[in-house]
Amino acid sequence: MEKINKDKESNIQLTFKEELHLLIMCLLPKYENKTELLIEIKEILKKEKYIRKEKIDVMKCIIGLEIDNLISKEDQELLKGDEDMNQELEEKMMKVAKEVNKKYKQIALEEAKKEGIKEGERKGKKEGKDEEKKEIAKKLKELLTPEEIEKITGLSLQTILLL
Amino acid sequence: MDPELYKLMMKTAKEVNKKYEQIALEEAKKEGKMEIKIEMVKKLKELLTPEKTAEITGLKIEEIRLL
Repeated sequence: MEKINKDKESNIQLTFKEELHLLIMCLLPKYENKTELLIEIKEILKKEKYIRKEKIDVMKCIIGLEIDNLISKEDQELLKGDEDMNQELEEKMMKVAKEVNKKYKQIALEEAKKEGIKEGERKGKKEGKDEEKKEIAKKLKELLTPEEIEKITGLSLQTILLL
Repeated sequence: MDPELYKLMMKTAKEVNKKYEQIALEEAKKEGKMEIKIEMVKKLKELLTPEKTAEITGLKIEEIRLL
């Protein structure tokens, strides 16, 4: 930001910041209204042939700094009020967001619970039935033929023979 | 919603899902076994004595007689 302006026509070397600050300070007594002052500065800088992008950036930066000094007390209070209001609003929004997150978390957990139970019931019943059929078939092997066991349990002959 | 929070929520939900699935599975397994026992008793009654059926299925003779 603080590049040196090497003006060949002068021996004095000023940074853009210093140059613009001097300009503002020189013009300040002439204006009561800060907007008019800034417009005037902008017009002056527009006329300068050597103005470059960096210079505009520095100007914007200085204008930003000067606003704090130039702004009226009344405006400063209004700005502070706005900041407080924004902070209060932000806090309220954060609170609402937290509540929404909590609510969604609860919904997600309830859904997960339901889904888990449903899936467990489906798998469990099938597993239990298969296990019991095999258990009974094992015991029946001493009393009945594999074909009879097949008919009763519904298990395949191959499964029965492997038990 | 914050992506990190969303990920965490999904992870927790999966764990909850798994936990309840396991509990439900154990319960349903018992239920399934009982259903098969009842089904088998009905068929075995015609082939075996109530005592033998009770021995094989693990049910009481009184329960078998009622089926």
